[in-house]
Formats: sequence, C-alpha cells, structure tokens
Amino acid sequence: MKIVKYAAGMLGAALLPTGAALAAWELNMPVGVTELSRDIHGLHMMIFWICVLIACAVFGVMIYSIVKFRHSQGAVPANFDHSTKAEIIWTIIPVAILVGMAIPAAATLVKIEDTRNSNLTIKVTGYQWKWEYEYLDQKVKFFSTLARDSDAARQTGSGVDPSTVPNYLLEVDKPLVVPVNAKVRVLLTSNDVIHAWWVPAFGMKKDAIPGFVNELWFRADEPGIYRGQCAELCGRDHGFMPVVVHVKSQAEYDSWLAEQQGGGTPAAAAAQVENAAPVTAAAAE
Amino acid sequence: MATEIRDPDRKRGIQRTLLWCVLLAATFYFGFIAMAVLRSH
Amino acid sequence: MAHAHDAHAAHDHHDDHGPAKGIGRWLFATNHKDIGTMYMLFSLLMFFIGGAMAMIIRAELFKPGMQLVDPIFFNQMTTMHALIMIFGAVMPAFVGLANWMIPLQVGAPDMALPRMNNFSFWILPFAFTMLIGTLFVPGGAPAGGWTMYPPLSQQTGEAFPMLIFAVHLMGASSIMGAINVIVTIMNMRAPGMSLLKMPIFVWTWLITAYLLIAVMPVLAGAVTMLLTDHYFGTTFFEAAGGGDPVMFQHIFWFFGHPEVYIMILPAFGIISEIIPTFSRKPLFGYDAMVYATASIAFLSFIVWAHHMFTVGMPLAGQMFFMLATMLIAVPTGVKVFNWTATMFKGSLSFEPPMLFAISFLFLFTIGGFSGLMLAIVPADFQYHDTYFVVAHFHYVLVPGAVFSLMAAAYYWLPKWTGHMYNMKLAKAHFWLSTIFVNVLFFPQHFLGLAGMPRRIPDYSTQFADWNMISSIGGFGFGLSQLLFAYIVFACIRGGEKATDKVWDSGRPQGLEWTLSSPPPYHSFETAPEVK
Repeated sequence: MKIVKYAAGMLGAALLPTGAALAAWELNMPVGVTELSRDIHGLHMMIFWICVLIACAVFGVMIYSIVKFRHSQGAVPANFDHSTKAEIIWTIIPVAILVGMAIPAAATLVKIEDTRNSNLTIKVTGYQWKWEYEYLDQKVKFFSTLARDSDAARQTGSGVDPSTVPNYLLEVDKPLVVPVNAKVRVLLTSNDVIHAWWVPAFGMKKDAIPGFVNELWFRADEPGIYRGQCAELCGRDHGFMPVVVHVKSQAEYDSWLAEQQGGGTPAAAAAQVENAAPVTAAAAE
Repeated sequence: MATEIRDPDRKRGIQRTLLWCVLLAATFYFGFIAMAVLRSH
Repeated sequence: MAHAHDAHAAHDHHDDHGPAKGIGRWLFATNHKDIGTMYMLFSLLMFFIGGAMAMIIRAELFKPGMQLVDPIFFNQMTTMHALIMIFGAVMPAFVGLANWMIPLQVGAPDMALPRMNNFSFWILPFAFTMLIGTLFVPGGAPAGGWTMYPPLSQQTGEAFPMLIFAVHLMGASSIMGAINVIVTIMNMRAPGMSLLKMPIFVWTWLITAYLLIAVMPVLAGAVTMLLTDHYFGTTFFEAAGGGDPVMFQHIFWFFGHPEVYIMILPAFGIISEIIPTFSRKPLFGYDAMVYATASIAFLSFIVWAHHMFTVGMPLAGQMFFMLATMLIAVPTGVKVFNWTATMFKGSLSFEPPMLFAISFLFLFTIGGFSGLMLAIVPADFQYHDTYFVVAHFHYVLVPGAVFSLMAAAYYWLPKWTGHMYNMKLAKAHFWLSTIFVNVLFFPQHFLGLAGMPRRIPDYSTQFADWNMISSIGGFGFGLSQLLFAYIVFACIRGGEKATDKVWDSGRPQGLEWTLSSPPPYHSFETAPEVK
C-alpha cells in the first residue's frame, strides 16, 4: 500500500505539476452551511462511528481466530455447530442498534420534508445541459451554464491544464443568488430528461423530473459561494452542468434583484447571460 | 430406483415443478405490464 | 434418445460412452459439466471485456481534463461495463457453478432439463454479440446507464432495439437457467436428502433461482414498455402523454434490488462451503444460515425504492423503505457472525480458496457498512449518485461476488479438472487482487463524500489525487486477473493429480467429494444414500 501511494505521489508530481497545490486529500463529508446539512453530517458521523465499533468487534474476532487457531500451529478444532443463545443475542443487538439509528434519522427526515413558511420560492428547470432559474414572485428568470474557460479547457485535446482554470467545471456564467438566512424553497422540474440538483454544502439533492415538480428547501446561514453539480446521468454533458449559488446579505441580494428586474424583458435577460460569462470568469477567484 | 430420470413419478414431478415455475414467471411479466397499463390512465 | 437400455448405464438417457468428439460436444452439449464449463469460460471472457471497459473509464479519470475519449463514449463505457459485468460475467459464472455443482451436491446424474440447459447457455453468445455490436452502429452503444432510465434511454440511437432485445435474451436465459435449478433441486435429490440436509450452496441457489424467476420477467416487462414507448406510441413513461418516468424506476428497481441478491446469495453459499473446510469445523448455525438467506430474499422485494430516495417520494414511503432496508442488516449480520463463529476455535489453514473467503468476509462487511449508511435517508440525500455509492456496490460486487467466484474456482477446480493448480501463483493472485481492489475502491468512498458525482467523465481538480490512486489500483487489479486466467488454463491442461477429497483437511463435506477427480461424465449413475 505504502509503495503504491508513494509511486502514485511520484506519478502525480510528474504529470500534474500544479495539481498538488490545488488538490486536497479530502477524506470526509464537509460540514455544510445549513441546519439540514449539519444534521445530516451529524447522522453520517454517528452511523460511521457505530459501523467502526461493530467493525472493531467483528474484525477483532476474525483476526483473533486467524492468528490464534492456525492449523500450522497445531490448533485442534472444536466441534460445536450452533448456539441458540449466541444466535438470539446477535439478532437482538443489531435490531436495537438499528432502532437507535432510525429514530434520529426519522426526525431529520421530517424536518427535511417540511417546506412550509418559506421566504422565497425559486423554480429550477433542468435542461440538457444547463439550469434555468426562475424567481417565481420576482419575475426574474435566467439560464446558468458552464463557464466559458472551463468549457474550453474540458474539450478533448484542448491542451489547457485544468489546474490553471479557476474552479474548473464548478463555475457558471450566471449563478443563482439567494439571501442569507432566508428559507428558500426550490421547485424542481425538467424540460427533457431527469437531472438532479445538488449543492453539497446545503445537504440537499433532489431529482428534476420532466412533467413533475419536486421540492426541497435550504436556509444558508453564511454568505459565500457554494458549488455543486448535476447528480443524475443526463446524457453527454452530464458532467458539465454545475450548480453555483451565491449567498448574499439581504441588502446585496435586494440590489442584485433590482438590477435583474430593471432589464426584466426576456431578451435583455438573454443578453445579460451572453455578457455575464466573461465577466464572471474574469472575476472568479 | 430414484436416480432413474425416466421414472414416471419423477417425470411427473419435473413437469409439475416446471409448470409452476413458468406460471410464476408469466405472472410477474404480465402482472407488471398490466399494472403499468392500469396506472397510466 | 431411443437407445436400448444398456446394462451398464441403465440410468442414463442418452450418450452412454462419454463426451462426443469435436465441436459437437459443445454445440449440442446436454451434459451439466460441459455446459457449466462453457458458462464459466464465457463469463471469464466477459469479465475481461467488461474489465477492459473499466480500464478505459479509469484511464480517462486518471487525471482531470478530457484526454482519451469523448464524453458520450465514456457514458457508453460505464453503461456497457455494468451490463456486461452483471449479465455477462457475474450471473453466468454463478449459473455455471450451479450447473457443475448442484448435480454433484444433490447426488444426481445430471440437471433435470438438459436440453433447456443447452438452450439457455447458447442464447448468451448471441445476446452479448448483439449487445457488444451496438458499439459499431450509428449513434454508438447505449449510454443512458445500465438502469436505462427514460427519458434518457429513449435518446439511444440505433442501438436501442438491440439493447432491448439483448436484455430480453439475457432474461430468457437466466429464467431458463433458474427453472432448471429449481426443477433439479426439487426432483433429483438423492434418497434421504431432505431439504434441511442439502448443502448450503444448493440452498442459496434454490432461493436465488426463485428470485430470478420472480424478477427477470419484471425487467423484461419494463424494457418491453420502453420499446413500445419508443416505437408504438404508448406513453408508459412519458410525462407528455400522461405517463410517469418514475414508474419505470419503481419497476426497474423491483427487479434491480432482488438482482443484487441474485449476485450475492450464491456467493454466501460458496463462502459457507469453504470456511468450514479450511477451519476443520462444521458450519456454525446451518439452520440459521438457511433462514437468514430466505429472510434476505424476502426483504429484497420490499426495499427497492432505497435506490431512488431522491425522486421525491412521500415521507411515509421514505420512512418505510429506510426501515425495511435497515432490517436487511439483521440477517446479513447473522451470516457474518456465523462465519466468524465457524472460524472461532477451528483449526485454520490458508489455501487460496480460504484466503479469498477471508478476504470476502472483511471486504464484503465493509460494503455492508456503507450499505447501512446509504439506508439512512437524510444521509443518502448527500451520498446518492456520488462515488460513495460506486465504492459501496463495487465493494459488495468485486471483493464480494467476484472474490467468492475466485474462491469457488480455486476450491473446486481440482475436482473439475483432476489437477491441482499452482498454489504459489494462486496465492500471489490473491495478494495482488486483495491489495489492488482496496487501492481501487477504497479512495472512491472519499471522493463520494467530498462531493464527486458518479458517471462523470471529468472532474474538478479537488478530486484529482484520489482518482489517480484509484486508477492505479484499477490497472493493477485488471492486470492481476490475467494471472487468474493463466492459472485456470494451466490447471485445465495438466498438473499434479488431485485426490478425490482434494483438500487434506479431512473435512470437505458433501457428495461431490465422494466422486473421483475429475468426476465421471454422468455424475451419479446410481444415487448415493444420504443418512
């Protein structure tokens, strides 16, 4: 294992000179910026540690048996072939553990499904291969597609090193903008095939299905830029329709919204999309 | 002797099991299509 | 067929003088061993074809950026890799094992329906020629994922009807194979072998065969509806015509979940045969093992929607499928505990089959843990359709199902061929496989948790490091399997003579070990008595 990792490190250093600086040896699910994502992270860690405990016990007995009862060391086999008591114990204990896991999971699930009392409703429509965002009560509507520099770099044989592209494949021309601390209800549907809208930092993912409307909600409590991707295979460019959400303070959001509404005709909005790409790309850190 | 594959009892047994298996498979095939047909209206 | 009964082979209904000569032996095979051999060699071939596709996938994912293939070809590779590995490699390998071992283990001369057996095998080469042929038609191979979700699968080009027909053929083959297994087990057991005296491998296959008969027709129904939606104007799954794309997913996974147990229950049977042999101790809790297998099979019918938690089900539905899924951990746990208890206070030796069985125990259990995590609906909203899922199902399918097949091959190969294989090479194959399979799949847990979706041909640079490690593991694992093919073919060609019992632990139990190695052409000409 160590040798392999070492070799990999060498190879990586050789092939991807700047990769090391950008890449992260990420091991775990990051904690998000919504209550739901923190709850989910908590559940994830709880189950993980329960599994680790069970693994220690089960693997411990296995390893003990492998080390201790070796034929080559002259171990003499016992001849027992069942024990009703043991079997009842190892049926009951897992049931108890599972009940212990199910209760908090069910509580979180109830919270996730409660989309009432939202402050803002946004309709998200999946297209092959872009997202359309519509602020239902504000008459704002625009498409969000992969940023141009990522799109250029991702072409086969482009010759562009992805590590030189800021937020490679995770940047769009025109991000979704939402206010901080607002309960945002997202209505999901699709215009062609099934897509899934996912922002890991919000903890939520849901399918966008043609002819049907799904909903999810999030309340981001920290301003920032949050990135995700389409998470349901949707054809050729499934890997190239990212989701980017800018969470802004209420004041910044309001001025952004006013600006959008100022050029409220669809044609103007479309023109804005055209203009937005280079601007966003240049401004991206 | 029970190994005789052409033993009439065994042959009947084989045919009976075969018939049940085919019926089971057909039930699931047509059952699911029928369910989908009923649901689509 | 109309031979006069020969005094020496009164129990035999066709060729009494051993195998026919030449290609006819294989084309017109009705012998369970010949058909079993063909199934397994076919599966080995498919394993390498599907594996080559996996190599293309891992090569493209070696580093960020698109280097080798077009995204649509990448999607074709993921789709075809899955279809070929599931329907071409893993399932036929288990059917081949069933063909070889069930008559030997229940004390029968052959399978009950030998000509249907021939038919069910010979369908497969045609099905897979057609499936692989889709790579060369306009529009290329299917690229909508092996799950064939509409509306995406309706965008398939000229490959579409070929895909549907190939799936139908595979389904027909599996159903016939399963019927043969059930009919054989129900009618051909040696006198005295009651159901609860059957070897555990036979038990797991009996239950698996019922699962197959119940769910393969459901898959056939689902793809038939895709076909009529495509060509005959029905709108089962088209929202525009009043249909429901999610209904396809419900039907598909009603097939799909039992399908994953079809690929693991016989593996449980194999492991339950091998561990007692090399622990020199009876299987712990035989009855419990049988009941656990049956419970898993039953539960597999009521958990399908855990594959689709993100489609927007009612809260009560999500709760139900979460609880039912978690419940599967109980009988599965019983099995793992029983295997552990079988090893406990035994006298263990570590021949290649046992090494693979032990590796199965550890790595399948890891796959079980990630499965339990995926069952928790809120957490699944994060895990769903990420590499965490990819890691999970590859852990249960590769070091699970595939390792059990390797273990079975190393366990019964001397019985089949009459030769011992090269133990040193087999152990080398084991260590290479076990190390590389972890290098390959363990980092995919990290990738999924960090947020990398599955089925993407290119990724953000933050995922670069673990993808590279995973690819290196993939190449290593793929190359190591060439060693397996070499060991198997070398063993078929010759080697040290195997004894009837093969394993000197004194404990391989079961009727197959009472026959010579290799067994006579018509396994049990007179039925053995089982006490």
